[in-house]
Amino acid sequence: MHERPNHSTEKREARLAWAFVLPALSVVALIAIFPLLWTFWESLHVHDLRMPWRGNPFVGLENYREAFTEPRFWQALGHTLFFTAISVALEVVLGLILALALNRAYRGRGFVRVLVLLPWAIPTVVAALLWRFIFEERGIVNAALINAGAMDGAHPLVWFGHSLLAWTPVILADVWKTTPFVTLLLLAGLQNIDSTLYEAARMDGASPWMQFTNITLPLLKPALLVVLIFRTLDAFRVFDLIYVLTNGGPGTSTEPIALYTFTRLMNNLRFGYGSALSVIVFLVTFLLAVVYIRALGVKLTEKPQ
Amino acid sequence: MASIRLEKIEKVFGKNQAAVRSLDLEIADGAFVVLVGPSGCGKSTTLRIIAGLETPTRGKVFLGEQDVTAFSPQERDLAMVFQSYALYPHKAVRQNLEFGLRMRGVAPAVISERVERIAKVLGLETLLERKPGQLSGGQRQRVALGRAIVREPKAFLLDEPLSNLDAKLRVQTRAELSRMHRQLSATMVYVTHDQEEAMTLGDQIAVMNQGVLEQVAPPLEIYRRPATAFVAGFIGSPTMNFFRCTLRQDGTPRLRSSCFDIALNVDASLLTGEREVLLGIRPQDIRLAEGEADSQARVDVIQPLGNEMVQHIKLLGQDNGTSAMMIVPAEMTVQINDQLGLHFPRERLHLFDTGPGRRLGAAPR
Amino acid sequence: MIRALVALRSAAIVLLIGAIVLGILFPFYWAIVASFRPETELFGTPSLWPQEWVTEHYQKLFDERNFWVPIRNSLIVAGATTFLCVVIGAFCAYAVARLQFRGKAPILGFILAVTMFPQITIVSPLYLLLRELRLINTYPGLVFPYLTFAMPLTVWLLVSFFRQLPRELEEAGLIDGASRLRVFWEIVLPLSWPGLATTAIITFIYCWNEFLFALSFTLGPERQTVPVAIALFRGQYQVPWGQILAAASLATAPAAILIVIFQRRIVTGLTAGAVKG
Ligand SMILES: Nc1ncnc2c1ncn2[C@@H]1O[C@H](COP(=O)(O)OP(=O)(O)OP(=O)(O)O)[C@@H](O)[C@H]1O
Ligand SMILES: [Mg+2]
Repeated sequence: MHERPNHSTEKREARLAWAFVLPALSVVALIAIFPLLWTFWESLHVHDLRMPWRGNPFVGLENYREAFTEPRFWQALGHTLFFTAISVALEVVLGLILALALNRAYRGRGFVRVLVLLPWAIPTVVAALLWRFIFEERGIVNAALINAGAMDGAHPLVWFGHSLLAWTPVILADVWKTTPFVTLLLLAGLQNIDSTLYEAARMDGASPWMQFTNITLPLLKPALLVVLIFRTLDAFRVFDLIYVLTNGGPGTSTEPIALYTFTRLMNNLRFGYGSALSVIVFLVTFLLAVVYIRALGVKLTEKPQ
Repeated sequence: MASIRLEKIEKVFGKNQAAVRSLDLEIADGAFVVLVGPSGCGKSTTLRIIAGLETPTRGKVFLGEQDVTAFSPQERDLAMVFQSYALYPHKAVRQNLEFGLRMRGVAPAVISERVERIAKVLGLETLLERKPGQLSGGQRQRVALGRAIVREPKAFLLDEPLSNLDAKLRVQTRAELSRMHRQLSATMVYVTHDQEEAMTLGDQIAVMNQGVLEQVAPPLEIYRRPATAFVAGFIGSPTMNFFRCTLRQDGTPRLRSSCFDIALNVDASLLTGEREVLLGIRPQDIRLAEGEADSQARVDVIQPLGNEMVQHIKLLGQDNGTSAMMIVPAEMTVQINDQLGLHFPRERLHLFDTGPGRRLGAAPR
Repeated sequence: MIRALVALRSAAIVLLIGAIVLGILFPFYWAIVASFRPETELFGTPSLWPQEWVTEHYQKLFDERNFWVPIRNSLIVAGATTFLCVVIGAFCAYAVARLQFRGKAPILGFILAVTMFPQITIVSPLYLLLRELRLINTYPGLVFPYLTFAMPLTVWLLVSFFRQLPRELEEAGLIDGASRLRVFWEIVLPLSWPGLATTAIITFIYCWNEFLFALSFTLGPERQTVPVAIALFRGQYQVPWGQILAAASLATAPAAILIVIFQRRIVTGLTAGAVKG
């Protein structure tokens, strides 16, 4: 009845699979991978849109040399690492506490879940503006501090004018915006833990703290790892938040590497140099991503079901 | 309808997880073959290879005379009933029944005629417009069967189709399946891990263990002449008693263990000197000795089952004794710790070699 | 004694949850309320509840600043990106989730890697490319760059949705004589609309919120998206906080509405890919 097919079912399935995969892959390759390679190429050239007469001469690693000898670059890198370390640490610790508190039946669960999603879902720009408003010179934070007698009403603190204090609203805003998301992921991780484990532990007379260290933490480790790396990579590319909140100021004292790169690219129009900065950002992130895929991605993709 | 033939089928998952090993199986046109074996032995994998849902790592699948190894499920024209039924939840019962016919380009008039007929046969007429979610387990099962039957496929493949039904419905549906098989005279391959189901349903039973096909035979032969110790232990309930013992020949062949020493009347030419063997005897086959006893036993536990009684006994011997089970009529008056003399009817003994567990010698009849 | 401790603990937890709720809500409350205060009441010693409610900021927002334009831009760009991503991404995700072929694991790894890499690294070539194609300050000039982060995200989310569908349904379809394509069309897609909708919502939210590309690839108000427009609000003499907060409240609305309606699904969608690994 049927003719014998020339190809096995496996081959036909593989062909269909490639047909399904190719459009998406080529889109991503075209608009993400190709530009990425272009960035590498650019970074080896001078390309200054303001001085088109200079052409695009090949300069080797000159752009990288410039970056590595520029204090502002190192400063920006330092800021980024500082911001990443502090905010991720705060978010994971707070998120874990919140997840543990929320991981039980209580009335209004749905309501709390909506709330938790809200900061995640609004534009970062908006979050930054809300916090800028709160920390304005005559804003609510200063008003509260003056009311409490902690501040002299005649000389309110200019949060955004102080190179260290300016980090307060930045980190607070980031924690406010992303801790809820961290909480959600950890909460899902917690809910995957079989509750009979706790019952068994309680039968064995384990204290809540022992339950936490012996059951919760080990079983939550995968989720914690995911969160940690997701957040680390995300914090490392921070841009919107600081652009709106402090614009890197005062001076350049809160400028992260992404903002510095953006300034060189879009304000100074130095595409060669900016590309070298981009490549550096990429390489650092790539290193982190490799760690991530090593730790989790392989398992994710090999799971049959 | 068509016969099915598997030739040296092997299936290896991943790098080295062999689910099916060098399996040869011939299923005659119109036969009802039950694949049975413990969980994870490769039954489903075998069935799915027949269906075309898995590609064998080696070996060939024939439908009739045609080699269909490279065919997709779609080209094989078989029907399958899944354990979970796998009814399309977004389609009403009618659309579920129609789907296979529609996919094969059957004319709409023929489709509706066939669907109506099957619905009537299976008592689904009033349910045709419902979604599977609105049906009971039994009704879903009938729809799943209907979806297979309405296609009039070359053969039916059923993977534990009854295991989600309650005990009563299961027995009922089994009878119905048997009847249906007779009426359709269709080739059916039926997978179950329940040996009782296998015995009641199949005209041929194929017993699998760890990817290996141990024996294919009609139910009674499987029961009476198990080809391996595994088959002997797997088929029959309660499970067969096994004793390790020494078979030796001094004059007449004798079977000796710490608990007994009995003479056999098997063909002596099989025996060379002395060897370790596995003696099997079903709990139903152990008798109380009338004259001289083959072995002495002490009663450990008594489980009355109504018309009969299961006794857990200890054969008395040098060491702690060997546990065994026997079934006796319910009328027998016996108490725990009573001592019994046992008789092992020679024609009911099964001998297996101790390594691979292959059956030894001529069969007791 | 123990009972008292337990009561104390649950009281502490209730307090903690209450504090979270307040902490999350307060900035929203403060901004929304402020957007209805007269300019004079915005700063100084503000009352928790405004003395006087005005809508002038909203009126100015639309009358003077044409805030409709960025809203329209955002809807078009985010909508088009989401549509493209879900349509193209669904096929890719299905293949990765279900079909057998070599190269599956690398593809998933590749997609994961692309979601990770910082947008700033491709701003420069994308800018040059879009300039070359004369797409700076156009809708396609935003939609294409948006695909870089939205497409991997969509595929990633959909893969975990497709993997949750019972495989046997598809196998039943194959045995019933449907081709793989047919199975995808007639069985998989109708059953996965909740997953598709959730993915679309999450993708839409990400696109709606995007800032860096929108900032880099638009030139003036006529193509700016909402976040860019708000971030670039300038007054003549001072920061127009009233209007900024009014705009911020409006920018929050779509996400808030989607979340209130679909919160359960969104939570499942967001956490499935990340945690069940
Ligand atoms: N897709 C797969 N990938 C890897 N291993 C598999 C796969 N499918 C089955 N196996 C393995 O192959 C072996 C046989 O599986 P199979 O499903 O055929 O068993 P079965 O006899 O049907 O068992 P059950 O009675 O539990 O259904 C098992 O060890 C199983 O873990
Ligand atoms: Mg099975």
